[in-house]
Amino acid sequence: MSVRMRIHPSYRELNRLADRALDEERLREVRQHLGACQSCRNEVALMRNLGRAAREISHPSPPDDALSQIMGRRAAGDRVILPVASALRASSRRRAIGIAAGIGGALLAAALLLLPASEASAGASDLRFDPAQPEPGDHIEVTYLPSSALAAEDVLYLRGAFRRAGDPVPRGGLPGAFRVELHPNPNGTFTGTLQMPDDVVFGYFAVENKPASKIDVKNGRFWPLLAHGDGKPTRDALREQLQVLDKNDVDFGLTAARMLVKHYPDDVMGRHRKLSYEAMTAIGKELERLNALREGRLLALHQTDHAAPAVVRLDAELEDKTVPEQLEVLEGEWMRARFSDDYIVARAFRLAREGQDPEAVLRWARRHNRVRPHEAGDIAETLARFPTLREPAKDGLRAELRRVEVAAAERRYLTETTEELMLRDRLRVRSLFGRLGRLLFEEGRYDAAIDTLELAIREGWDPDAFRSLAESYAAAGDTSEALTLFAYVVAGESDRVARRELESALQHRFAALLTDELEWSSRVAESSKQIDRRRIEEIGRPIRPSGNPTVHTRKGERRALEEVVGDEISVVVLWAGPPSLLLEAIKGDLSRTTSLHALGTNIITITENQASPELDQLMADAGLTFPVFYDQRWEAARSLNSLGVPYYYVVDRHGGFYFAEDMNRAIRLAQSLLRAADAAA
Amino acid sequence: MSDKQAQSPEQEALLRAVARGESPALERLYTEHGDTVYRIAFRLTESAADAKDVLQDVFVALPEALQSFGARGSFEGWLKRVAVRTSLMKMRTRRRRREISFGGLVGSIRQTERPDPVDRLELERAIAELPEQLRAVFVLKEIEGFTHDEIAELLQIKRGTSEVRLYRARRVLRTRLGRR
Repeated sequence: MSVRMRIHPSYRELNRLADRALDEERLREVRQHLGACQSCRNEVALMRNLGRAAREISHPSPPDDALSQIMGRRAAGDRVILPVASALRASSRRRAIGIAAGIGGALLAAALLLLPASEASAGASDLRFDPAQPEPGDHIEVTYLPSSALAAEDVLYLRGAFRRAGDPVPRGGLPGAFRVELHPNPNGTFTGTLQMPDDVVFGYFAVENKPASKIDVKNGRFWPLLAHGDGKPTRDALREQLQVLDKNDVDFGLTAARMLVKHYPDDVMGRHRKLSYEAMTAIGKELERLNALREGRLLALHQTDHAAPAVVRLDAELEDKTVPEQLEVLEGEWMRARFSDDYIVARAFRLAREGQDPEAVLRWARRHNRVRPHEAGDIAETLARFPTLREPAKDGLRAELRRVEVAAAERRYLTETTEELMLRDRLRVRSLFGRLGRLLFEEGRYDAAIDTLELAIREGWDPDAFRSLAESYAAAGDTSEALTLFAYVVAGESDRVARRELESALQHRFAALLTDELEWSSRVAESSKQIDRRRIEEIGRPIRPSGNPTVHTRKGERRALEEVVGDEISVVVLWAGPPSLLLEAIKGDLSRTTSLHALGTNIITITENQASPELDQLMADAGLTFPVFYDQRWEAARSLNSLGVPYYYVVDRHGGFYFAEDMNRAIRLAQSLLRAADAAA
Repeated sequence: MSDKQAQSPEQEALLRAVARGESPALERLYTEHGDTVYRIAFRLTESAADAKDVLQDVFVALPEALQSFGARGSFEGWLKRVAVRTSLMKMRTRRRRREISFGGLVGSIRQTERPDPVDRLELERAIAELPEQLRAVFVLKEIEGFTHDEIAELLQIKRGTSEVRLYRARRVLRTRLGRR
């Protein structure tokens, strides 16, 4: 048997064989393989049996009274319009026009009902406010046309927050401040009322079910509500919209900036952002043209407009100065801003940290905590990096732990389910205990460190915490427990070289204890399984690409992203959109994935680069054999809201995309998913 | 599923009578095809109540809808597609009441000599629990016999997407039925 025939055909090929849709050439090879492989024969037999058995399932007959009711309805003049093919096509046009013209909810609902299935799940829901152009103080009626995921709920909740002009811009996720009950109506919509307080200018909303286990966030864009005056959105409302929501989505940012400039052409912030977004969303020559134009326009803005953004003025003032000089300037700004400017405090804290000046770090940390108390935990973690700031760091970490332990609904982001908040809190608690434990270890307080780090590792897999705990046990004289924990550290290391080095160091250090190689290997293998379980538990909710994005092959053929990803575990490396990056810049990252490729994981690279012989050569030089797809219009990137480069995803066998912060994490997660799938098999 | 078959003269006459609004003709058409429409609707919606609604809507509307049929291709193929579309609409607009019928199934389990018989009671449950998108493709392909091209047109997806969804559905079913 040839080498190729010893390799099992892919799941897709077996499916095609079962469906009698495999091409002739491959059919012969696969049949030859099947002749010698009981496992694949069983697989194909099961696929065919599934269909056969499904066809044999009996189904209930129509109720006896159905015909009489049909005849009765016709006799009574009842008429229904059926979605025959021509009506379906017409409805798609009607929907586009209906939304653009802002016509009534009934027609919108009728149009949405006729949407094809693939669109309905992606974006068929809608939320409407009446009046659509409210003024502060107005009572507002809310009508929600539910997504299919929420349609079966008995009651829904509008969750969101209102903002006043100049409220600090939220960092991280958007918080939700209140919930309004929405009741179901016979026509399938849900309605409720809320009042826009007198002093707010802007609100943003999502819809969720009672236990907050399902949330409709309009594909991550939320539903905005803008305060109006004189028949148009107020300037403050449009500015808040731009500040709060643009971070999520470049396209939305551009739309929001254009809206602000359209209504208030003199608004510098709007003009500034509009130019930036136009440059970010332009492609190729258009980008070059806009960049040149943008430079000129920004220069003109600075020279002629006295209301140029404070940030731009500050940038100019800080240019070419040393860190201490910059901190001095910011000290003056802080005094002038009457101790409340959160931009200054964040910038100064970052500068002090980069300048490695503990005194300045502590001073700005205290100010930071006053202005942004919700970030006190992050600040404490930063303080912990400075040996002389250990005490304030420990105080800050303990205070943050007390805050996280209180399960407060207002800490839940608008996109977050209750379960996801709990997971986020677990990860947070783990990180805080880990940092606190490491500080105690560094102080030589091994017993206290062990107690604290045990709490950290109870909350999940954290390589640093495991390593610190192992070292704490070793320092406290318990080498047996230390080795148990080091086995986890070894198992968690995905880089083969680093893993070998670590094992070699342990062999050297614990030579007397590590005599049985087999026992050690089995301990590492068991640790590896436990880490996999933890990783899989913690990956959270998968992302689904919005719409049906397509990418191009080398030959220019369009392929649906869903089809490209297929049904095997895949690592998708996506780099498209601003800032542009050449494939060359991440070829090192990609070459590390070859080990995954060998294990049977699909590696899919999607780039905005154009197909070219140079790109082919680059791939060949780097030894990369997996396919490259082209996303020059950023269809795939936008569908995952992943503009900017590069983004790493692991895709499970059901098409769920899991974001990985870097290639290391992507590789580890893919390995965990593969091992879990093997174990399940 | 071929859509090329021409109607027999007798069926053409029947369809013309239904299009004119003649009740006996509609009753006869219901007797011939009501079961098919109900089966498709039930499999897709997994709800007897929704299936009944779909059945009624299709036949109440049939006389007017036949005017757009125009006797091109197979009537049964056209009617099945209308039933699928109406069911998809229903799935999105009505609260779904998942009802699994177990009647008459238990006795038929494992009576076959096939190499790997599938427990149909379990299978029915597993199909009912499939995510909506996967179930639609599985039901249309494996039970109703639509081609991937037809499914792609009905669900407004690409052919490759339909294939991938079928593979995923099989994989989920295989896992839920406890097989590798």
